[in-house]
Amino acid sequence: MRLTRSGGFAGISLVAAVDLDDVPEETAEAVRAALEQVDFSPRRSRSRGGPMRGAADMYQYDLEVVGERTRSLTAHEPLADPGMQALSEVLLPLARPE
Amino acid sequence: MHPARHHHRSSLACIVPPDLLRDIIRGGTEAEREAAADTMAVDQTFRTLRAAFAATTAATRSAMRPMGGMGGEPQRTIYDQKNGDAIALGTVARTEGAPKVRDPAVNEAYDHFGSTYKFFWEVLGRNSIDNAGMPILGLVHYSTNYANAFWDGQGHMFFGDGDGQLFVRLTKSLDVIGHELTHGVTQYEANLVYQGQSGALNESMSDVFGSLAKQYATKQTADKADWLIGKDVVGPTLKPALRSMKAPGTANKYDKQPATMDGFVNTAADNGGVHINSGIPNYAFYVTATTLGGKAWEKAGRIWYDALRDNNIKPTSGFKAFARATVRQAETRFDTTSSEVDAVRAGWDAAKVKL
Repeated sequence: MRLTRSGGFAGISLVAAVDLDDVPEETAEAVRAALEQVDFSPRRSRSRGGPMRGAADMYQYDLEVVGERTRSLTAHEPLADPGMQALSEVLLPLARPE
Repeated sequence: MHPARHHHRSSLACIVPPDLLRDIIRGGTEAEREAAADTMAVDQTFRTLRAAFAATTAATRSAMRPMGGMGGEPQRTIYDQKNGDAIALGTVARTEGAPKVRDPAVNEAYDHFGSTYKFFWEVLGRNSIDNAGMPILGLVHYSTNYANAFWDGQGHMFFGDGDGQLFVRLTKSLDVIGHELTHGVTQYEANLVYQGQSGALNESMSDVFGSLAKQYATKQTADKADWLIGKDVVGPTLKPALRSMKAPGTANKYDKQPATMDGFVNTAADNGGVHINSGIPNYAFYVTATTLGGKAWEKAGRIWYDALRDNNIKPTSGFKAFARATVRQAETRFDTTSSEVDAVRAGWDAAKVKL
């Protein structure tokens, strides 16, 4: 799976690309728990579509989870989805600039 | 009844200058004339509405403000978010005219907002974000280890303390504070949509005027300026600077900015690469300003500001529309055969944006 945080004033993309089989069990558990909460339905208007009207330099988040079926979503700061909040707390410390 | 005509009209509204519309009205087929006339009517309505809206907002604002608003004095309030994630206004840390406090972030925000206000007022005659004396509200110590600053689209500018790697405390930099405040100015003028080319143009406006606010404060001429963004706030990862208007793509090892249209980046990240492709109009400005020489805010800055306020610039306008607006404004303010117009053309030519 891959979580990218792009944009912000810097426009530097931070990418966390992890395979849940290769990370410590504790991390994998936290990621799975967060993922269960993430709403992938296309109509969560607060976190989907564009950034807040008129806003600039806020972060964009792109999540892609590869599995039996690949699921993805794009969300913007401030993250409204508690699953995405939890996920970014676990994964962003592992992310690298790209 | 005329589905095709409708489609035609909306695309005309975005990219066709009024001169051409007038030509079509004079010389086009009946259908073309009708479509062009509609477009001009829509544009006119848009302009009238925008002017009416601006007038009412200004009247309401000045009626509400005790100072009345002749202009020339900012109305700053700095809030301390105390490293919380809440976006509601935190504790008031310093109000307009109040003395320095102990917290350097509060004083830096206050002072740099003051310099940015002064730049817009003294150089461009603009009274704050909305040109009607809008209060300037800065929220410092936002979130924890937050390596970012942003404009929320509702009159608030947020600043993090940095993570020590990408950035240190973001209030330290005048060009960063100028950048954020300019997002507000852009919203009240062309209101450029924060996506793709119009978004990159929006970003470029912030780098241009943020940079000019700094050059004006230090009375630096175009040849002496470093044309760097964020030099004062980058951490070890992004040293020596965040962006370079003089040489986009060279500011640090992660800098992917193109300087010309040849390098235009198509991406879904960063709202369609708004902080990447802004390198192209940034470079056009740098070349224009250094070709003209002297103080960049006097001519190049004025032309860019006039273009941002040009009635032909729409929320969805891209580089080409903006480039043409700068040429038009240079021709109006100076002369069609002036060296200023030549310099503007040279800027866009260097960035490989066709006029």
